Amino acid sequence: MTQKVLTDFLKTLAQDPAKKREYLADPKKVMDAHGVDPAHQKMIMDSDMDGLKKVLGPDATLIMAVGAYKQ
Amino acid sequence: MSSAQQGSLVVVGTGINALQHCSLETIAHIRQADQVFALVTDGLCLSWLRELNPRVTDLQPHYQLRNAGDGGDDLGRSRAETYAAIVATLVNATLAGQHVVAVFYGHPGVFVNPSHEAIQQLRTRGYAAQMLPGISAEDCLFADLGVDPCQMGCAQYEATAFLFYHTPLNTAAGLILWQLGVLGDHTLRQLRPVSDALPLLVERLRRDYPADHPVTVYEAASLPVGHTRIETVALADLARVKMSLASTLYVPPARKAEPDPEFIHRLGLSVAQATHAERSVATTEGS
Repeated sequence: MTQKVLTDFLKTLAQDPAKKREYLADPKKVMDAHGVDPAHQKMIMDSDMDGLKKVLGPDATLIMAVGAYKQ
Repeated sequence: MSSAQQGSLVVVGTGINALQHCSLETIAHIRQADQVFALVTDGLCLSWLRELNPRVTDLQPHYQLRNAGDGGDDLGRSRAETYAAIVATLVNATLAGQHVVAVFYGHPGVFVNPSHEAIQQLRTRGYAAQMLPGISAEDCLFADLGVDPCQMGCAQYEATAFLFYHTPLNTAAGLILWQLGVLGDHTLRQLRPVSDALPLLVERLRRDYPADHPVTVYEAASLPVGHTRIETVALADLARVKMSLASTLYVPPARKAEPDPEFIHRLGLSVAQATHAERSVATTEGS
């Protein structure tokens, strides 16, 4: 449930620039209003992106290419 | 097989910050696909893709990721094998007659091997296969660092390939080095730089740039609450900077370009005319 709230909150911020501006002005107020779990709020305020991504789903790797040295 | 039954492949990119960077065309293709295969960076993007189309298969397990417990991860098999498995998945689904959409993080054709390979294999067999552009980390870098690559040029290399090959540099242009997070790893089985690779990269760059030349480690924000990493240090200090899998290095020009009088004169111009015109064009024309 708390993961769904976090996911919905992030989707809202991504697609609603006015809400994003509100968030940037007062992050805690906007997160509280959205019901974001305090532990998730702490991750956001601490810029713990690895922690957030673990909450959002399984680990992922960004590396999708091999340099020309192997081709 | 008739064309009505024949499968097709469309390769698309989510951009770096998926929910904000996807094009309308990309979203439409995802919605209408028989099958979506996705290689994206986080569960937020995956859950959003599943809202667009419930028939999403995550390609991430092909990596066989496992934590190495020493500040990085290892892979159960070589990335080359992983990419081959992803290609096979995309090709087989298309051959089975499905309209397939393959979703990759960023731009699907920039630093993505399996996208190009799958398209090539399917086109060879006579199947429709196309790629749509996406927003790459490079695009984010230009926006976040305020760099216009058309000012005096900008070269870019995969960082390990840059170390492994003789690469003449034009220090009047910008330089971007990618995939610092796996610098020096020839095994394709670990997700961290080889120890001592960063000092070697610094040594290589010092052949062309002064020790105090500013260089920037850049990471685009991938979540709506994320911060862009812009960490600028002197080149001599670069080896002390912690790299992640998202780290990219930007090296700004170290000198002004020198005009080439021969070609300027052959165009009937003086050097002053040519270089003034160049500045005017660069500062007034968009693209």
